[in-house]
Amino acid sequence: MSTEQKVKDYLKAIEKDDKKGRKINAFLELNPKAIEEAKEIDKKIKQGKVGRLAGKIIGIKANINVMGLTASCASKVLENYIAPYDASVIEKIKKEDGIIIGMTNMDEFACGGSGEKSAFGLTKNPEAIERIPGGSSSGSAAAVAAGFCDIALGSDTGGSVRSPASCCGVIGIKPTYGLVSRYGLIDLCMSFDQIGVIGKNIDDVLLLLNVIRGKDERDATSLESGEIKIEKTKKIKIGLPEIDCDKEIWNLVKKKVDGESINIPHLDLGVQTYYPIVFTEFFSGTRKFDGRRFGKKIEEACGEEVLRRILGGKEITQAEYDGKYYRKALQAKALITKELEEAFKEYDVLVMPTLPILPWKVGANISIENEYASDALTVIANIAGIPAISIPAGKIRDIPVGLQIIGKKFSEGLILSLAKELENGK
Amino acid sequence: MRKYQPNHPGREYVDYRNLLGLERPDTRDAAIAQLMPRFDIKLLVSPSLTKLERELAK
Repeated sequence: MSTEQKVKDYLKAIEKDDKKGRKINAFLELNPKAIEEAKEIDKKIKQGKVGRLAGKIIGIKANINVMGLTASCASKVLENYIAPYDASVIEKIKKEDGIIIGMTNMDEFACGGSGEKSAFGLTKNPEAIERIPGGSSSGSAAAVAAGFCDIALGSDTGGSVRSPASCCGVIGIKPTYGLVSRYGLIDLCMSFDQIGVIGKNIDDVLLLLNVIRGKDERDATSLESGEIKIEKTKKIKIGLPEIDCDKEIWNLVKKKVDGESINIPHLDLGVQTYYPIVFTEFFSGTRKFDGRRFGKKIEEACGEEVLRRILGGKEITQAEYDGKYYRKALQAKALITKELEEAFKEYDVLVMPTLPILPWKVGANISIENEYASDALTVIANIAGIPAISIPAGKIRDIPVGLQIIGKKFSEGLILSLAKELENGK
Repeated sequence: MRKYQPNHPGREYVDYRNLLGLERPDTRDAAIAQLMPRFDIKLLVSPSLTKLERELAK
């Protein structure tokens, strides 16, 4: 099938089910040049000079700059912000002939884990229509699950790629901190943010991850890395951390792997370590949205969760209080990281559910405490800067459940190898 | 919207907390807990009592 025809088919599927039909609401904007660009790729294919992503149709989370498209972060604050440049990851995708089909919906400024907090309406879960799709990369996961594109980019600060992947029954990987350049990603929490990949199969995820990875002079935190490969490895030694989780979910995940129980003493401090850091860095990062350069003043145009984090961060950053919360959270971060490094001396990977509970019903009255607590198993990888992947583990009452594999820094090849084995049903 | 005494003459201080339907409590700890209502926040806030501190002190 030609790339042009593939784009047309996806656009037809989007036309049928995104704003009409099932009203998935995965996309905030479609690329008006997608068909034209696909025709160019088809010409290149005929000439035999084509990039690695030729024929791949890709959705991009609306917090990543794609020149000429709206990087709104699903917020009224940036609803008229047309990106004037391409993020590093977008430059790489275009160079390798990937087609960007549009900008995907998300929780506003990536603040949320349910997909319900977009200023432009919630995203629905194509795999369990009455349940939340997870977030904050809700549109990217829903678009892949609904068959609106082949692969999608999301960003993962505390689980924002893996959570929606789990809820929507697809694959989502958060790479090692520094593997992928953040240049052009609108930040939520710069010391945790990483751009990740969502796809339906491991091969597609690996392909796009290899394209976007690598050192970038414009992001000082990015690091050199080699080509990520799936290899037949020796038997992988799996640790199963002792965690607080719904028993039905844990049992489903445990059935998929052969592992040993491991106690990591301070893993339960993940959420209370994560949020003070996020609040503080988010408050700092949003000071640029003061209404002078990027449209509206954020406090006056944002939703409740964004405002909560800004105000919370403002309180924490008061000089006499940063030592009480932020610096202490950084100490806890160091402790958790150290304990995980110890665990990886004994085990190759850790396996656990992606989410400790099933995705709740859309519109359910979930307290902030419980919503934050649902991040407990994903924030760990962000705190330690290590890679983690969520793959489908099966379903409970027709609701997808994700299995999470966590590895040490730059072990993407290993966790993808185990994921591939599990994908093949081994 | 509740207005505070301006710090600088001629400028109004707006407490955006009101947009969340919240009044500012008396202490900053309470204000943070109000905005970041989570289980076990005390683990980070009470230095002498936390298992984290004990661990770090080892």
